[in-house]
Amino acid sequence: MSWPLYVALAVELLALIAVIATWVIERNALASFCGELLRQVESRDNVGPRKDPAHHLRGSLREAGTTLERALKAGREVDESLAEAVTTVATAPLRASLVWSIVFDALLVLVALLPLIFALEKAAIDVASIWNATRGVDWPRAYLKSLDGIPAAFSSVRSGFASSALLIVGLFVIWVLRWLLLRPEMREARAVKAFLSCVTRVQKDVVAPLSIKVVQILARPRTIWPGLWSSLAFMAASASAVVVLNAAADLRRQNTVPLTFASWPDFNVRADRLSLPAYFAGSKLGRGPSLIITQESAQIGSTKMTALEAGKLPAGWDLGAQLGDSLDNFATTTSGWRVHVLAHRELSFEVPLGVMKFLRDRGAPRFQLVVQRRIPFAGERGVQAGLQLELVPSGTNTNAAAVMRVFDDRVVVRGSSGPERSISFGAPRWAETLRGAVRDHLAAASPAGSPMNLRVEVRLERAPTYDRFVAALAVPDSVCSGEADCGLPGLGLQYFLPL
Amino acid sequence: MFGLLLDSDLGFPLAVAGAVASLVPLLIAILLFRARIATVERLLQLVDDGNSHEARVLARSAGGGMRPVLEALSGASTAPSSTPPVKELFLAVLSLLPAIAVPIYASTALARASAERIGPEISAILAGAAILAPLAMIAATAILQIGLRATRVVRAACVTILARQARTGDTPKRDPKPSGEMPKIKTRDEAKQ
Repeated sequence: MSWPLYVALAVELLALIAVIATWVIERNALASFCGELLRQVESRDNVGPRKDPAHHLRGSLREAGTTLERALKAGREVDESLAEAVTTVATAPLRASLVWSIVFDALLVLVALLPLIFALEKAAIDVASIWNATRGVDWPRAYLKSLDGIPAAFSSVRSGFASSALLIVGLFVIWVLRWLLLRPEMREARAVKAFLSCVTRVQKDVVAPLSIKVVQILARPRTIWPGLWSSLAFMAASASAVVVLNAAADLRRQNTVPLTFASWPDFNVRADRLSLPAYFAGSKLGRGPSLIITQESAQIGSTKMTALEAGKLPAGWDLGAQLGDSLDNFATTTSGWRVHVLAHRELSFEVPLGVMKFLRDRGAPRFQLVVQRRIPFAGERGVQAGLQLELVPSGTNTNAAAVMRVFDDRVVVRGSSGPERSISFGAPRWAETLRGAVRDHLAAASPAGSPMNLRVEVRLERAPTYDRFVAALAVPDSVCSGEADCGLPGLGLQYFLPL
Repeated sequence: MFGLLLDSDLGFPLAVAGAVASLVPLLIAILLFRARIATVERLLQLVDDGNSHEARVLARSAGGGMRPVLEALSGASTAPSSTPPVKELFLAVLSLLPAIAVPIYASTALARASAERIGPEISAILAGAAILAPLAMIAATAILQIGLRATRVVRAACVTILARQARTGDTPKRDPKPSGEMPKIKTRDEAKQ
């Protein structure tokens, strides 16, 4: 919304012109007063109607000018009249009435803050309408509905602040110019100078001791202090601005991220020398043991399960896998937990899947595939998130809203009805296409008023690399739309892999 | 916008409190200004009546803002010293504070708001800020205007007094200083004796 900015700029421009015009008009009026008075005194033309020399002057200036004019035209001693004129000017307010001045300034302030007021009002209405639209809606739907609306509402506030900051600079320019040109002391000095100059031009040999005394009393002594105090105030204000900007640097950096989820737990699973898949998806990690699979070995917690041979599980490895005491009570101790899977990105998914099947057979069918999040505010270490995957017996009814068949080079998506859609990993914008296809099936399977069905069945056709398999699961779960990690958790899709 | 504000348990009271806190300094500045004008008028009346000593006592008791008038009444034949409107600057800063403090407090108070009310409260805080920000800034500029006007009123009084002194050549004498020994005040026992 840019019209409040344009309206405000136009009003400020008018105010600026008004200030300069007032100064020019008054300066010209004083000059024409003196010129007209000199002409009339010199011509001594008393015939016909004569123009009042002070008719351009306003208020107290006119009163003072008329006093001076009468004395000069009468050709009498001008000292007393000049002193009176100077005193009249020096004791006059020389500005508009207090109420009018306050109204004028209030109008300028209101105009300068117009973009901010409109932006805040729009944000308030937008937030209220998002809130009303998401009341009684289950959280994934509310999440998706508010995902674009809330950043949009607050981005207008940011632009409103920027516009108002610009207008406030303009307002200060107007105020400074008004202070320099139209403050009463300046107008007083200008008028006194014009009156003195006028008198000396009309009466060349004028002697005015009283006026000189009054003028000397009025003239402020020139000291260094105002300049010094102003310099110190400027330096203090600049230093304060630098301190505030430095202190707020982190906050401003965070504000550049559209919408963030700041309550990620400070809980990372250790994965030394293991480069994890990095995607903008997954939910926060819950408790659970860690299954770590490198290119050399697989281990659960600190217990080694087996060594890998050329990146594959050796035949019959499960017969000799040693898990010690932790394996003896595995099903009991992991009840309600999800095993964190941390695997090397380049491994074939068959390797983690083999170990996961082994654990499933021992009572731990639920896993979290750990992905690395690169959230700007989380620092170098970043945070970790987990994609929820459960191994279910083949033939189980998963009540899934969508089915994803994963190949090594593509994913085929289908819902409860409609045609299948094949999306190749190498296709342009494959991620957006895959996300859209799965979301369409989720929405179709979730009638309005009922909780959103977040269950997705995954069928492994030809095993891709672990990284690509995680990508196929992460893309539909992600709610970040840009190139950078927006910091938001994923939708929390629940993947079921029948085996 | 007012509907959003009225619908809130947190934003509405805060906005009202912020508006009152912004307007109270303006009210104080207006009262101070009126008092200063009354003092200046009384001072000039006393000077007109030839009661310079009483005028000096009044100027001295009226505080630092009347220092230039006191100097003029004391016979100083120099330009009236400038008195920056410090009180008004302080009041202007006070009137701006609610516009900064209230949204900060409100955003921290949101953490304590119930989850069912968070949306309306955010809307109310935004609507409250849209009202409070211009109100506080208008109050601050009005206070500064009043301060500048008060400074001019004091200067005009000084000029009136100094111009009169220049015309008449009659410089008011300084307050009489106690000369000789101060009269001793008797104690209660001495008085009884």
